[in-house]
Amino acid sequence: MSATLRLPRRGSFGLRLLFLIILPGVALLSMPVAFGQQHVSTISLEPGETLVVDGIEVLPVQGKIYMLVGGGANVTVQIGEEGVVVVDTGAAGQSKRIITAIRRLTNKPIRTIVNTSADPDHVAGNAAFVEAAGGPRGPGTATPLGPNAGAEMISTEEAYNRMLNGGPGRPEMLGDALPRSTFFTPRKDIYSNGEGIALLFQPRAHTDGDLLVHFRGSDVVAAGDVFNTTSYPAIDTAQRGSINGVIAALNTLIEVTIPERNQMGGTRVIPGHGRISNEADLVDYRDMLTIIRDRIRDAVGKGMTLEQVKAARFSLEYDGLYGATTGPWTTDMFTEAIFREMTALRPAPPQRGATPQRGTTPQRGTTPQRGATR
Amino acid sequence: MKASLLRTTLTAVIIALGAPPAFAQVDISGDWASRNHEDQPHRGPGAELGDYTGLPINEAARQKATHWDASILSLPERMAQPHPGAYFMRGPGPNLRITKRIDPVSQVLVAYTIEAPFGRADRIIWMDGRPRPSEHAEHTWQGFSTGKVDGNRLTITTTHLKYGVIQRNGVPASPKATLTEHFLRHGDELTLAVIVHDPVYLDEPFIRTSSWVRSSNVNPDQRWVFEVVDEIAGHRPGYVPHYPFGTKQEEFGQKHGLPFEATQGGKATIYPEYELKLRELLRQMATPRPAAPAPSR
Ligand SMILES: [Zn+2]
Repeated sequence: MSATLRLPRRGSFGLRLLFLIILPGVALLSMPVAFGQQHVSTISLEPGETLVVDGIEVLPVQGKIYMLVGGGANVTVQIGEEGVVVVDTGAAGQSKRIITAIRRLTNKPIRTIVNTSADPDHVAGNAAFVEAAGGPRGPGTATPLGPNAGAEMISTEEAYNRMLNGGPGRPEMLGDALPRSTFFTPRKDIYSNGEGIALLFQPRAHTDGDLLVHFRGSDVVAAGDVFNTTSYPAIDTAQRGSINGVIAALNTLIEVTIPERNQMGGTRVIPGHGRISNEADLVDYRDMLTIIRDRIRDAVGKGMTLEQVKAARFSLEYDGLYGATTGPWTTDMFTEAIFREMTALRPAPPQRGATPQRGTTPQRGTTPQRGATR
Repeated sequence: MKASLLRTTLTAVIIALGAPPAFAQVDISGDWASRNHEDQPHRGPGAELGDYTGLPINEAARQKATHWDASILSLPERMAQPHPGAYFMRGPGPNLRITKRIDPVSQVLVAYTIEAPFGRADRIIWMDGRPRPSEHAEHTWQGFSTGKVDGNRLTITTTHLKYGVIQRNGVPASPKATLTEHFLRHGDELTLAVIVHDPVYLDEPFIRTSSWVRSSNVNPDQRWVFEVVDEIAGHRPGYVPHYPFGTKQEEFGQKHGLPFEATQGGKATIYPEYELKLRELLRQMATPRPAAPAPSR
């Protein structure tokens, strides 16, 4: 990072405020040229400030982390002396603008790319980012700049397979657009720019290949689409998504995050879509999903049909925040996904004259959570 | 005698011309002791479960409040939360310490800080005309506030609030809610009118006033960190208490002799004319209903 004057993080509120007064506006400091690249003067931002580059909003989050909004899903960027880590690469046709925005923050090379799922609005920029990095890095690669140059791209094995094979609304991906480093274990650890980064696999959450990316030094988690402040989570049943899995992932996130005091500040969370959040916002979202899930599960238990469940408006108090009547993910689709899952999890009643059927066995990775209704 | 009067008059005129503008510019800085007589039952003990009287809430807000279970505040991830912005100026107290932040060079007022709402989500009211943050910036318990002085009135606009409440019995305020607040000062009396606009939960703005008196002996809330403990052992992670769907919170109406309908709020209930409707409902309640005919078989 450039030698920017920083607000004192600890210390009295008055002192912080005084700094804000003495240093009004954006602190503009240029950075030395890196690796003989074309000189582009970079800019340093403080939390609360926003830079707009070609329609992409750049918001400093905390520590080394920035959130880029406006090119599909939110893009998380970690910037330091070693280079750039990017979590998700945005939607098709957005890469140029997103990379231009990153270049306003640093001239350092893109070293690592992580995909939180296989959704096109999160990974369509993969190939363009690898190209901007000078090529792929990993087994069997050698960029013109040498074997240790280029960008390593990481995802879960499930997300890799989804990208490779395509699916409804997801074109097949090829070549440098595909991650060369995949894993299927609960967790993978990497390290960059002086901080540990934990990649936490959430099997069967919004898809079967979701990752949470926890930057432990900056204390920021990129949550992907298990957490959106603008919509209900898209439970993509074509990719083995699950409401119980999304709730389990949110409970994991709540365990990972620590507020500074009184549910303020502390660990920040970058949602797949929407605004910068902290634990308090996660708790609101987790509570909302748990309550709606419990209601639909109880309704299924009483034998209500899908039409009756939709008509009951179990999510009414949250629809004004997260609901939709049009577009790719409507409230009805969300309700139906939960209804189908609760129906599948419901033990089949014993039938007269037939062998009692075994209840549905939870599939790999599913945490069937029993309700919290009192 | 005449010359002396003329001299005095001239002196007065000269002083007046040289003086700063005479029209009052409100200054809200100082220590203020709260006066809780207004709406005391809602601010001290807190509104009872199912009491939505006089709230311009919509059906979504009613559904949220009705299924809200106070046990949720015993969860470790909720027990330390402060009072949220749509409610905190009207909570129990708060005694306030309002401080001016002055640019040391120009001596221009940059901001007011307001300390001591419950849970210490202390406020900054920016007076320097700075722009609002992006819609993608973090929402906080106190939100982002800017102020503008208009004579004896300081008007504050607040956005970027976290999901909160307008009353302590679960009546919600959404993160899309915004506040318009007017501080009005009359000598040592300070009045605040808070207007909550919420496109998600309110059909009309929710408006309340609160009062403070200037005091040199005020005791603002000094608690800074609330400790989080396991209050109720044995809950598995992810436990979210809530009343089952279809619950009716009838106890409040029964206890106070109010028809259930009148406890449920709605924009009609904020107007004086609602008293006529209430009288009618009470009359119906007092009239014994004819016994239902026995079901024929
Ligand atoms: Zn997405």
